[in-house]
Amino acid sequence: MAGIGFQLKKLINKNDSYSHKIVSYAYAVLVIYGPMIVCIVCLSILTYAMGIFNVDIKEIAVFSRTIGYIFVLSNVITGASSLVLTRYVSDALYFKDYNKILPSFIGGFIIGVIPGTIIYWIIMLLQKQDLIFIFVSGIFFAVISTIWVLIIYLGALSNHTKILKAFITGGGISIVLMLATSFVPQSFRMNYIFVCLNTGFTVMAALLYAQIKNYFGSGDKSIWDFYNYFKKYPSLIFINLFYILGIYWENFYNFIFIIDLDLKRTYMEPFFLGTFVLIPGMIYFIIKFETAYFEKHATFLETINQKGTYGDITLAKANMVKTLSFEFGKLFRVVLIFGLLISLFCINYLQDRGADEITIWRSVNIALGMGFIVLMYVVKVLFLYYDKKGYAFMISTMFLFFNIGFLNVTRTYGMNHYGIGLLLSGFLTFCIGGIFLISFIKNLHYHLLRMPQE
Amino acid sequence: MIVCFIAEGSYPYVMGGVSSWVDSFIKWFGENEFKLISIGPFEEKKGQYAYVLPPNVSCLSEIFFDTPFNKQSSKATRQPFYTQKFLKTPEEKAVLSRHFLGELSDWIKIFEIARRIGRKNIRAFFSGREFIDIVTQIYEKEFEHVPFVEFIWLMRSMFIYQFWSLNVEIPEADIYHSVSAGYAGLVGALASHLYNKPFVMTEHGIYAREREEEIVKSSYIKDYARDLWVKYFYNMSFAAYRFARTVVTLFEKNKFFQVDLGCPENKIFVVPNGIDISAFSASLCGDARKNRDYKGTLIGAVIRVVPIKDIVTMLQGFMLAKKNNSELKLLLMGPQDEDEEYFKYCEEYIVKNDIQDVEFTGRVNVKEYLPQIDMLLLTSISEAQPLSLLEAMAFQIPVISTDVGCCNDIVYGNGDDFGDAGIVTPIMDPNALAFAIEKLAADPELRAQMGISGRKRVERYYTKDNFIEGYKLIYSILAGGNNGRNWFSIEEAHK
Repeated sequence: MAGIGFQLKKLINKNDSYSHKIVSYAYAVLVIYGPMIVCIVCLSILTYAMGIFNVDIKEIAVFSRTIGYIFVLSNVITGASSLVLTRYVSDALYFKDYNKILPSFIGGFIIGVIPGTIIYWIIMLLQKQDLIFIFVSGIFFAVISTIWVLIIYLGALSNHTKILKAFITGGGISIVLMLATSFVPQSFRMNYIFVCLNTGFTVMAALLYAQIKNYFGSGDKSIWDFYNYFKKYPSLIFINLFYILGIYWENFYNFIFIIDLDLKRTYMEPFFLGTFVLIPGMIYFIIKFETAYFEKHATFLETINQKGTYGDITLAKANMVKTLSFEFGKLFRVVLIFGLLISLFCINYLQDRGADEITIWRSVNIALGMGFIVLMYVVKVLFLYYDKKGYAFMISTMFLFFNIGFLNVTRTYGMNHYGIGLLLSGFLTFCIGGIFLISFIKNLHYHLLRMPQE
Repeated sequence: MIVCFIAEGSYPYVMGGVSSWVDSFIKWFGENEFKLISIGPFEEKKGQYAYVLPPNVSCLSEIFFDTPFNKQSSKATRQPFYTQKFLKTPEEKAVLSRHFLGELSDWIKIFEIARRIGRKNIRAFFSGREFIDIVTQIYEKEFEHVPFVEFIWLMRSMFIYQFWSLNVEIPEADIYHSVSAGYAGLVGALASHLYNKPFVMTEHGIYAREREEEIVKSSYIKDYARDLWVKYFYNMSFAAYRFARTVVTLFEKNKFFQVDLGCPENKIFVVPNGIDISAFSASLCGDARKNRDYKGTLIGAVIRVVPIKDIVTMLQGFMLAKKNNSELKLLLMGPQDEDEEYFKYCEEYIVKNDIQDVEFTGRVNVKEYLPQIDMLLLTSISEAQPLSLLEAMAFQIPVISTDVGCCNDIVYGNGDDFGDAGIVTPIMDPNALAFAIEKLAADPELRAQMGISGRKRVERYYTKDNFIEGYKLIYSILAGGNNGRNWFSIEEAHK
């Protein structure tokens, strides 16, 4: 991800004018969060359009909730393999072994998308939904899962304009097709909307796939080559899976174990409003934090590898630590400011929509919690920089178990809808992870000077 | 009596003078039980013995230097937190610091620390905070301008081998006998300290001086590291000299070097190598020479094809001699697989220079080949008291040898009146070698005379009986006449 950060940083710094910076940051947001934003835009337009097309309000709610759970479940299922796949692709890129790239995508598709879709269909069948709805929404699940897998490869591509065009084209097709909803019989409108989404997002996925294939070629390595990485790095599966499960735990739990039709207690809308805090936090991390730290980190490693003296190494490390502290401070301010801003927005927006107090509190707590999750995520990534998978695993596991624990505790007191669990989990995990990180960085040279472990 | 031999890089894995010495010793002292400790470089070679162990060898304990670095070891000894402590007091840190710097070590403390760390934690210790802190302090005091990571790894690789060898399983024995200083001598010192048993060391060459020579000549050892390495080996030799009750050398000249290295003179005995003269009958030679295929002058060399034997100078000398006398053939007897690169180099040298009548026989029964040859060559750049010269002389074969070790004494005698048993030449001097070959090839009478002188010298000084008597005396003094069966329990010592 540091690669994409450097490219975007260069773009932003091309011109000092505010207008250029605003446009560049907006571009960066689209590049990094394209699918999510396109989905949100499409769905917002859809939801508005469904009101115009007189779709039943309960159906709109079911639709929104289904989309939400598709996002959650697809993230969780593809998340189990995505970090392993990311590592595989990174190694392939480092060694310029481009023959591995496309076969690994096929492998990732087989292992993530197909079983996930089947699981989704089973869950929906158990929830006794309409068969056609299950089928078409399942196709959307498969397509969005495919896009999550494709995103892993997009960081390596240099033509971000093309990537953006793929997102916009796919989203645009969905929106255009949806304009014909009024011509579709009432009973079939929900399914038709999913067909529109499936069409547009399939085009999006196909365009992205074509770009990757164009860039890296078809490749001639076996897809099973990628599967060896599961044996080699088993902890990476759980590092990402537990992290994603932690974020989505309550939603995941509800989707799998509880059928909740209470329209007032919609979990997804306030949840997704809160996740907007992730965007500025992650943008800052990718473009500013990671690029600044990466340079100092690279200098530090170079000093070690290029036979620096102890004095040189100590100085390089001090510079690296200084940058880390500085950037963490700035990141904290970014997530705090945006956490508060988005909380204020949520309060106003949800009040206007007639949401109850619990829903409003939920969105505020999730917004603030997401801020700590960004910080916690950065701590985890920094450990992975140094290949300290044990620490990263500990953070993800802690985060998940805090979420499970706090959900159970707050449920006991009837407070589980307030989103307090996520806030406390994010905060505590960041604090504990942060303490370990400080200790690790302080003793970094001991870690680096150890005898290599096979 | 139970004697535990400790050998480094030799018996039972490597064919050569020291290994043959150990093998003969065990057979000649057949009434004793022997246990072996072998210190070798590569674990993959485990079990690939160059010698068949005699029946009176009851056990073999082995340790290999590459084990701490191999995959299995890495997986088996997962490193705990780098904060794990192995040193109990600041004094122990100070002891290690002095030890790593090559200053005179408190070896009893070092033994204690090494055994406390044990095999299981060796990687953890050498990766851990304590080790890195000590080395960092040393670095900042004296080496602050050298690459830091390189320095850490230098210290690590030096002392991990040492601490690893100090964790070999030491079997119970009445006497511990190492056949060199270095790691073998160190293990002997440890055994002696741990079990309060006598330790005797036989030094064939002077280990520390040989290592120093290699270090000085080496192109890959950095300048700042040379002194550290030399002190490292000198320190180990000093430990062996200190803990040994008796230090045996093969000839007088070595005694002076040992004293110079810190060995008390009153500990040193001289017991020359001995051969079973009855197995080397000169009468075999006449028929063997008559019946052999080659009718010219057959020159032999009993060697391992390794750089220290300087086969290239031998080939050069032979080539020069052959220009003036075409009736010469060179037979190189001995293993070729120890240094395959060097063997290939020698073969290419022969082809490139079109040297005719050179034959590598590989491993052979030397006693069957020696009677056929007319003279024996030895062009080593380092030797102690080579058995190959003694065996050739026992067969009344004249020898041409470089002036290394005590070869001069063997060939010309040390004040005796037996006469010259051959010719001594400077090292790496093909012209002198060629001259000597030509001289002997042209004069069968001279060869015969030298052969008789050689035989007499061997009969007088270098016999198996003299050798056995010398060591029987040493063992009986060390064992105190009661087989020394007052040892501590090995199990308790290992706790």
